[in-house]
Amino acid sequence: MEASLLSNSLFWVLGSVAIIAASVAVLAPNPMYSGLSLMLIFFVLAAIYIWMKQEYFGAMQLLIYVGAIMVLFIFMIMLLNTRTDFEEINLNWRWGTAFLLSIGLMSVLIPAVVNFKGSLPVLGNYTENNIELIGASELFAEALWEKSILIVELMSILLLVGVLGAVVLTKKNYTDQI
Amino acid sequence: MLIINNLLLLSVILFTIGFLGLLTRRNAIVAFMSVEIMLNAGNLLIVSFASYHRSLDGVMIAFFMIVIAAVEAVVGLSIILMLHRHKAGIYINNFNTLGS
Repeated sequence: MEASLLSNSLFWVLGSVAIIAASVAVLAPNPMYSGLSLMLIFFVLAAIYIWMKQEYFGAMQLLIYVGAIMVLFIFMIMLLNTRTDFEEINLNWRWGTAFLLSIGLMSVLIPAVVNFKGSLPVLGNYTENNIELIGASELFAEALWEKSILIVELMSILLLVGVLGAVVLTKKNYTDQI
Repeated sequence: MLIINNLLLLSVILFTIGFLGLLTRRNAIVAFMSVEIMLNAGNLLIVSFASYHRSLDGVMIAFFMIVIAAVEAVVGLSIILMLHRHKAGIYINNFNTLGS
């Protein structure tokens, strides 16, 4: 019981840090502060995944989001932004409309998730018993390489297309050289 | 374990904050970051449901969504780089004159 109390309070701390970091990422005038807060959100979400006993997925979140995507974002901020690019928050009609739309979205979604009372039966084999017996990595590998091997191959093609698209988009004057 | 409504509530709040940033910010990179926050909120929702169902299928979906987010970041940042080259500024308002 004490362990569960400890882990519940851990979730509350992580959740509040995530919400505060998201607010800073959205509202900070300096894009670099936004990027670093976004990195904090990814760290906290990885911690929440590990707290949910999805250790492998948390590691993937850390490696791909923090290690690849956020480094790319911060590199682009440093490449493109000058120091005069700050964007102040002023209360004009654009911010007012956006706040009203966000409050409307929240007032629709929050009652839906707070009143959710659906049953959550055990549907897969990722139970505590199987994790003890077989191992979490083995279960994950079975789901990745046996059940969804076709999607993995399609994802490799998608990554190749993304690389080619980035090269073609950013190459200078490539029509002259063809 | 905690009841699932708290996780869903965190996911919804993160999604709404990302939505607010996407609507308000004019800096293209920050708007793009707001899209990433929204994607992560969706991922959190899927993974929490899969985790409470003790199933790995939803985790697989979230895993592939991370790959799609990586590809999307690469292509989107290339488009922002093109915008910077053409217009000398990365504001979203500049996208309405890209054709001319």
